This record gives sequence, structure tokens and C-alpha cells, in this order.
Amino acid sequence: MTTGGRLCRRDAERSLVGIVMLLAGISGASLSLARSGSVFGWDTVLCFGAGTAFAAAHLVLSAARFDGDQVICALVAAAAAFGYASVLRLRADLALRQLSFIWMGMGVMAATALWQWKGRAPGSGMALAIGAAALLLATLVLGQERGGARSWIFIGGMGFQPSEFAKIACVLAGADALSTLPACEVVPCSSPSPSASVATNRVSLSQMWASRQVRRLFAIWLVIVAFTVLQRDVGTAAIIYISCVALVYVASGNRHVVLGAAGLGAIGVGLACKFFPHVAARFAAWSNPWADAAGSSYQVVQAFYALGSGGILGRGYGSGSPWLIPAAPTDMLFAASAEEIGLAGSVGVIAIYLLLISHAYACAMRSRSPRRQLAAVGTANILAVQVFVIIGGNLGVLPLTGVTLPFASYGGSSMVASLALAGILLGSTAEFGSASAQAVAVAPRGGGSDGSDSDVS
Amino acid sequence: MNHRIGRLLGAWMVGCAVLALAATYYQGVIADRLASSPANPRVANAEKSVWRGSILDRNGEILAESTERGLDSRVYRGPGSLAPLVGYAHLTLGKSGLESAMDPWLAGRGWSYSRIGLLSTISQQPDRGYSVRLTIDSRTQRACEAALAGRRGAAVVVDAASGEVLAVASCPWVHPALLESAWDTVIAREDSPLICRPLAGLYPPGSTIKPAIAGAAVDMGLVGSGTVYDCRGSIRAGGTIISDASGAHGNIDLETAIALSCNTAFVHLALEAGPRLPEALFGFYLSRSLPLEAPTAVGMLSGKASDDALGQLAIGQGDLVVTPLHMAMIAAAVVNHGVMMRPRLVAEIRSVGGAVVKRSSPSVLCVPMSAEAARIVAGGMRDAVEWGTARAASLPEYAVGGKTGTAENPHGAPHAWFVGYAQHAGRKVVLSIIIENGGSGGQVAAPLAGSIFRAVLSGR
Repeated sequence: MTTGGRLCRRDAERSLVGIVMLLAGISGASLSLARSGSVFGWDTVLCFGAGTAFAAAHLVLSAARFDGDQVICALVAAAAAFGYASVLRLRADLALRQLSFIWMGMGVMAATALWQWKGRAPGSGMALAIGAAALLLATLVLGQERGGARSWIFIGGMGFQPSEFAKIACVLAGADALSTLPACEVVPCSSPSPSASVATNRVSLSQMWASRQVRRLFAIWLVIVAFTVLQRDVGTAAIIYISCVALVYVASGNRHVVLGAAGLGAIGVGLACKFFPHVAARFAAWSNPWADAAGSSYQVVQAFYALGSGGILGRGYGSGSPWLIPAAPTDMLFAASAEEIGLAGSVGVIAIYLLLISHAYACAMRSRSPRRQLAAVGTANILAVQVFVIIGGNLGVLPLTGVTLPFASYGGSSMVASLALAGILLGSTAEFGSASAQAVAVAPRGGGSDGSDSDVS
Repeated sequence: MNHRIGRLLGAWMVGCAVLALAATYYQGVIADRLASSPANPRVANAEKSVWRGSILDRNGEILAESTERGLDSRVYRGPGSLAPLVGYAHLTLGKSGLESAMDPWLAGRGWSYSRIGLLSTISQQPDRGYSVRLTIDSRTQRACEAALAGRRGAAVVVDAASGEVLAVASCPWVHPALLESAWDTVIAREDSPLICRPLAGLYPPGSTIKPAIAGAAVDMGLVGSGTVYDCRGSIRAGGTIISDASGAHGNIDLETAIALSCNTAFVHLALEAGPRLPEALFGFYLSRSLPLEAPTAVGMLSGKASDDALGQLAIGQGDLVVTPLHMAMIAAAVVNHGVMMRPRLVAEIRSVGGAVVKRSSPSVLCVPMSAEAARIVAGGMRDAVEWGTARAASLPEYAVGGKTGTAENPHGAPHAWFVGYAQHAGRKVVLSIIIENGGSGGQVAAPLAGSIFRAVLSGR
């Protein structure tokens, strides 16, 4: 590679992604060993191929002189490699589709990262949100029902879920509008005493309401959440709602907003239980899973059996029977894989998400632009709430909802949307305005866009 | 703004801690319960995929085997009276008896359940169970079965020197193949055909307890081989008078008291021993369950030492109940110089390839009496067969000793007991047989011993 010397600016990312690729290859090899008896089989190649997607992402980012965070890509790769091995183990027939989703998502991740980094237009968030709302409306009218939720649009045999993309739009619109609030002035690290900044640190609801942008933001959020609920996709609606409330809290510092939103949310859940029987059934199955183990809580109870059968060390790849849980490759991926990787493995998976999202918040704290900061917090919020909701649902901590485990579960919309969120997160960690970045950005881009990543553009 | 992001970060960390704790609860704390729950579909699936091991008698005769994978093909071939001991393994009825107790071996997961992570990916899991070879001798078993002749009762034969259990006959029984269709009728039957009576049936021992009391009395120094007791035909124990049906025996020694089953003499000894007697009997394992590969019942021996209780204890009545195996083990201790060997049902466990994975070996369970006491008691039991109450058990070719019992019980006619030993060419086998509500031990149970002893001792 001719530009190798200049590409090495992302040394840490290169090493970390390399380690993840190695681990992906090892998990593929053990999967292959369990299924075909040889270490080098199709499973090895496929898992390694999933890891390679992130190596390609690394090359694209390096070639673009992107100077953002170098850890996020590797952690996302770790989650995706874990998920890919689990999906491959469960449904070998979905392996190639999932691999193409990962590569597609990787392209979207790199593209959104660069878009966010190079200075996204201020109106783009709102434009996306309006587009998402229109798509959701179209879904309500034309969409098809899958698993109790009318959230699918089919275009020529390929289906996708607009609600997955609505999450991204909500974050971007929120970051754009809320960064205009006075509380968002970034306090330098050597900040004066907190009392001095109190005046600008809190924004009352009326102050927020006074801003036209914020009024429009609240309206579009309301529309998106309402449409998602009307699609009977209560899980996704809850994720968007909680993440947006947390974003408003970070931007405004207004605790009353959080309390009021919590109250509204409780009322909303009560209404959902009343009008959607499947929501009420999920709550009943959560509060006492053993009461109707063969009926409404069958999925949860099967997850418990899978978890218990795994024990501390797991039963090993190929030795368990994770397909016994309904919807194992999508909603129940965590519990299904926990049988074979054991407590050691499932705590490891939780640790990947803990590191990824904690790192995202830490990066957000370091950022000096309120807009980037809020975009990073918003994406981290969405990922955090979704991970907690679905792993918590698998573990019986929360009622089970039909959402996916980001980066891991089978599903094209989910994979691409999650990786797009990761891209926004990545793009938000770089300071485009800084001198060095500017200098690099002016420099001609060339060597990076060679054959290996031409399919990204 | 940063401190608010910090709060979100804190909330996220708490959330992850909650998730990790929940995972630890399900995968660590209650994992074993979930993994082995009968409702866990993996348990049934594992049964389906494993070729269950066989159960064989000591000579390799097949008692239970599977002709293919899964439980549906389980075939039981052994003597019918073994059915309650061998038990059944059924997909919906579950497992019982040895099929349940030896399940980890039969199902091929003898060492541990395969939760060893990647190691189980590398190692091949066995799909054929281990076969279990018992110490049971089908020939002896059939002799016991013939002796019971369809009557409710139990017989158990033990090799006194090694502790090997040679026969465990329980009557009535139901063939396991018929269980599924007749389940409701079977469990409603009053004669409980599923209970393995020799190991789990609890009966008052009646006079068959007297050898144990005699042994204990000798070791306490209350009586020796020369001591003479004047039997007047009845004796008062607390508020009750216990008498002998055949009237006063006059001046008798201990051997004669055993041979004639003299109630008066034993009540006298029990009253003299006082609270020491129940304690000595604890040493015969009467208040515990005997350690065995199959489930055994716990005998009941209250430690009460009132004169009334001691009087009843001396004649094996009152609240004392034992299993036939308990009585056989007491006889085994008598004939084995006071040493009770640990009873054994499983001789060895073999892999499909025939390699012996585990083999049992003789070991001492306890020493309830001295060799001297054992010699005196064995002599008394020999006398009982030569000219006493157990004459019907006499065999010209072997040295047979025994003790009969006629145990009063609340369920009707007395249970007929015979507990005895036979020695020939260095072998010592003991038999304990009971016919429920059969009547007199000397007339009903003792005559059955001959054919059984012949089957055991002429076999080699």
C-alpha cells in the first residue's frame, strides 16, 4: 500500500480491529470444529469475513484522514463478531444474508461518520425526521405485519423497518435543535465553580418552548413516537421516548422534564396495556413467568432454561440446543447464545456493550461542540436503552419486547441502522474545526479508495 | 453539561450491573435447577439422542436393554420379581428404581454434565450409555420368586462375606411394559406393586430381632454361653404381661432361648439391659437406611427405654419397623463373625467397548457385635433349624441356621418371617424372607428357605 505511512495515524484502531478479527476467526474455527469436525471450514471463513468488514471500515476512515475516536470501531466490531457467530450457529441459511447486512452497514457507518465529521447541514436532522415520519405513515397505510407489529415495508421482496431509521432521525434532529439552547455552552475542563454557571446551566420548559426550533423538534418527536406506537411496536417507541427524554435532560439540565416525562411514560404504558392485548400479555408474562410457562411466557421460560443449561462455562459451540427458544436469532439472541458460551461469555457480551457505550459518553464529555456532543449522547442513549431493554427482556429483568440486540441480532434494517448510529457516534468524536483536521481535509484524498472499499461508495 | 452526561454514564453502569447480576442469577445461582428441570426440553431431547446402557445380572444375563436410541425402545427381560428393583425409564412416567439411581451412568453422562465450555466442542460427547452389571444372580432370584409363589412378600439373599446382594425379590410386581397403559389402575392398587419391598418395605420384625438382642446382651455381659435362665412361661414388662405360647421352658441357656424363641427370656434380658438395649440396636443400622445403590427405607427404632417399650422391643413388636434387607444384614453379621459388610448391588460399570469404568469392592459397614457373641448367636440359630422353631428350613447337605418370626401387625394375619444363613464350602449366604399376613413363620416362611439356599449354594 503506497500510502501506508500516512494511513498509520489510526494505529490503535488498526491493532484493536485486528484483535477482534482474530477473535472472530477463532470463534468461527470453533464453530466449524463443532459442526464439521475441521478447524478450517465455511464457518471460519464467514466469521472472519464478518470481522473483515470492520478492517475495511478502518481503511476507509484512515484513507479519509478521519481523526476521531479509535476504540468505537473495534468495540462495534466485537459486538458484531459475537452476533454473527451466534446467528451463524443458529441459522446457517441466514449466514450470507447477515454477512451482506454487515458489509452494507459497514459502508453506511463509514459514510455517516464522514458526513457527521465533515459538518452535517444544520437542517438535515429535521429533514430526516420529517422523512422518517412520512415513511412511518406510509408503513401504517401500506405496511405489513410481522410478529404483532405492523412495522414492515416491502419493496420488491426486500422488507425493512422504517422505525429503525426513525431512531437516527430523532437523534440528529434532537442534536440540531437542542444545541441552540443556552445551557449547552460547553464549559472548559477547568470550569469555574458550578454556582457561576447555574444561570446558563438550567433551561426551564417555557424557555425551551420559546424556541421555534425546539417546538418543531418536540412536535416531530411526538409524531414519530405516536406513529411507532400505532404500528404496535411499543418496544421501539419506548426506546425512542426514553432516549429523547434523556437527551433533553442533558441539553437543558431540567429535572422536572425527566419527572414529568416519567409520569407521562407510565400513563402511556398503562394505556398501551389497555389497548394492546399483546403488551398486557408481555407484562403478565414478565411479572410471573412461571404462571403460564407453556403459553404466554413460553419464550421467556425457554430463555431461562437456555440460560440455566449454559451454567458458568457454557455447553460449548455446537453442544447446546439454542434453537429451542422462539425468535432466537433476533429478539432472543442473547439468551440463545448464553447457553453455549455460559455465564463467562454472556458477562463478556454485557462488558462489550458496557465499554462501548461508556466510551461513547466519555467521548461526548470531551467534545467541545454542543451539536456533536448532543449527537454523541443521543446515539449512546439509543444504544444504551435498546441494549438494556433487550438483554433485560432476555434475562427477565424487563418485559420482553421485540427489539434487536444492536450490531448482533439478525436483521438488515437493525444492522444497518445500528451501524449508522455507530457512524454518527464516530463522526461526533472528531473535531473537524481543529487545525490538524482542517489541514488534512484540505489535502487531496486518493490512495485510500482502492479496490477493497470501492463497494462502500 | 458534562456532569449530566456523567449521570447518564452512571445510570448506564448501574444498568449493566443489573444485567450482569441477573445473568449470574440464572446462569450461576439457579442454573442447575433450570438445567435439570423436567420441563426443560433439553432433558427429554438428551434422552432421545442417547442409546441407553443395559442392566445385567452378575452372569451377564440382560435384565434391561435398549434396542435403539431413546427411551421408547427399552425392553425388560429379567425375572418379574426384579421389576420393582430395576424400576422403569419412561418418557412421560419418568424413572424409578435402579433406572433412576443409575441414570447418570445409563444415560452416558457419568462423569459430569457437559457444561465445560469449549472443551465439550473439542471432546466428543458419548452417545451410548454405560452398562451396569449387578451382583444379582438370576438363578437365585428365580428361586426366591418361586418361593414367594405370587403371595405378597419379599425375599432378599446376601453373600455375608462380600456384602453382594444376590437376590431382591418383591411380589407382587407389574411388568414395566404394561405400566403406561395401566398407570391409573397400578397406582390405585392397595398391594403397591411398584414398591421394592425387600429394600423399602417396612415391617415389624417379630421374633427375628432376637438374634440381634442376644448378640447385644452377650456383649453387655448380661449372658454367656453357660448362663441359665429359668423360664416360667410369662413375665411382666411394665403394664403388660408377655407370655410364651408353648408354656414354661424351664431352665434354658441362650442358644436354647433362640432355638425355641423364648419370649420370656428375651424380655428378661431387655429389662436387664434397660436403655443400653436401644443404643446397642442402633449399632445394627436399624434406625438408618442401609447404604445401597438403590433407594432403601429408613428403619424406625425409637430410643424409648420404658419397661413397656423394652418388652415390646425384645419380641420385635411395638414401634420397631425394619426392611427385609435390614434383617438379612443382621444375619450376615452373625455368620460373618460380627462384621457387617456394606451391601452392594452394582458389581461394575462398563463402557460400550467393554472397558470397566468402575468396579465395586467389599468394605466393612460396621461391627455390631463381637466374634464371640456372633458365635453364640449363630449356634442358637443353628439349633433352631436342627430341632427348634425353624426345623422346616433344615437341609441335610448344608449347615443352615435361622430364626423364624410371626409378626403381629394392624393389617390382619401376622407376617411370616424367616431370617437365616447357610454355609457350604467356605461360602456364607443369608436369606431374609417375609410373607405378608402369611401366618406362622415356622410353618409358612421357614419351609421356603430350602429351595432358595439350594439354588444359591449348588450353583457352583
